Amino acid sequence: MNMYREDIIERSRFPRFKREMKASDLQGEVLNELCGDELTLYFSFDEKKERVADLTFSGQGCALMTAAADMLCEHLGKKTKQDLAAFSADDMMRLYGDIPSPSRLKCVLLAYEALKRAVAGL
Amino acid sequence: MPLLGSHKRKDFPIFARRQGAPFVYLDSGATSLKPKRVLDAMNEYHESYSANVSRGVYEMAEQATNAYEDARATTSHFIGGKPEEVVFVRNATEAMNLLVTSFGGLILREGDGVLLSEMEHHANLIPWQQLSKQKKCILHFLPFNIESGELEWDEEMFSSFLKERKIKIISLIHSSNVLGTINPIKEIAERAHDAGVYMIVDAAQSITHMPIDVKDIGADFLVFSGHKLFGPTGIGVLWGRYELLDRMQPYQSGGEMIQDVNLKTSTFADPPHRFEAGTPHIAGAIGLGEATRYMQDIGMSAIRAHEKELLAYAWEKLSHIKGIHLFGPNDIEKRSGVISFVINGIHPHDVGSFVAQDGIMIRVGDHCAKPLHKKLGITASSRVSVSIYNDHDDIDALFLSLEKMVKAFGL
Repeated sequence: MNMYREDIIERSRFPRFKREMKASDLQGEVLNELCGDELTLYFSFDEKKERVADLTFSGQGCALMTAAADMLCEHLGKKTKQDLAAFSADDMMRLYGDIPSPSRLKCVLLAYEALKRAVAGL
Repeated sequence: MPLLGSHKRKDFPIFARRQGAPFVYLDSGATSLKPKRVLDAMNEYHESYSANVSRGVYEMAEQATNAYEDARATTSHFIGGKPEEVVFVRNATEAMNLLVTSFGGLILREGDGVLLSEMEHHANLIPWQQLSKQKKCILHFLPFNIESGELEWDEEMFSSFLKERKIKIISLIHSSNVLGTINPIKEIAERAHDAGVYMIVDAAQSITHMPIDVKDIGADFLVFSGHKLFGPTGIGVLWGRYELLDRMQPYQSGGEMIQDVNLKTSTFADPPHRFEAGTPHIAGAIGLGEATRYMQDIGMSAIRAHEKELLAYAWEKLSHIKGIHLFGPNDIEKRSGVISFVINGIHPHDVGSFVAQDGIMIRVGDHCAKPLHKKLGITASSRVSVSIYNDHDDIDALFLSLEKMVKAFGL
């Protein structure tokens, strides 16, 4: 298995959802103990406060973390709060595709960890 | 001149392993591979005379005791010390904790200073932080130059600096596990002793790369781990001048370290046994003794010459990678063992994983030196280590893999 598929590298270099949100409704922050990298997810909801209107992330990290965070933001971008709560680690791995070596799985799941923290604040 | 590099791989069974793909091992700074001689010596203990030491009166127990004490003598000879000055511990970290607690506890008073550097491994930093809280003493740090990777210290003003800061102990890394810098321990130790200051040397990295004589470099204490010089994990060395060891209180207590025991009081054995409570890692000590013999058979000067040549080759080769920044001195006389680097636009963990896919093993992360990385303005780096079994083919393989990676990342 190639841990560095073209689409992973492409997304890590040109992420579409990597931007800090100044006035977000909800945030989730997490630290990767492996490398000390930090990741923050920013949520804004629609008028009824039921559905995600915008979902972005910030943080300097490796290609795996950046690509996975970007995929998560794209996938959950218009979903409901219930969908956010129901999103699992398995869902994240399916979304990502190939699963890297155990030592790097944490990088792929970092955005999901940030999501869990954010959802806990709902 | 002994043949090193690829010629030495035949001594290491792991290069002939049947399981797993072929590999390029450039992570000896984390731990070295193990030669057959060392494995055989340890097996022989387990298979032929695996009795406990220092207690049995039967022949096998005497044989075990002899082998254990012989390992102590061999190890002490390796660094130019006396057998009774070598304490077997788990690793350099444990040696440092022992020293900080027993020697630091003996010497330091409130307001006293301890001098470290900004390039210390956490093992020579955090124990001092703990003690300084307890003893209310003050930690000082020699800075290093970001460009040259060398310690910045004013030789002329050093004595008065030590006096003004009430420095009682200096504890320094001999060779940086990140920058590769060989620090001027001998020069610093001379000034330290003139000022009545004790000198502790963390030789965890340097011990496997160059000849070290504790008296020549002027150490009062020197620590290292066995597994970085072809010995097993779980065994390390604290070497100390005997008269200093003799003034120190035990670090741990229990069996093996006593002279006499009553229900309410005990007296302790002389060094080194005073600091070896409980059944020691007998096989580990025997393995370490054999490892030092193995290295002496090759010759430490020959090892240094081989690695210098390889490091210079690696430095030159790696500097051609697009966007790379190499840390530490590029004067090979001032560097040993490792080259750490970052590549613009590619995270060190991606560098490590990418080359791992080509069977190349390097270290990535903060290498237990977070303050050093913070000073460099980064959170992590990639590190290449060289050892006696590495050769130009290893560096070439790494170079090709890095070139491929830079291309794949479109840089």
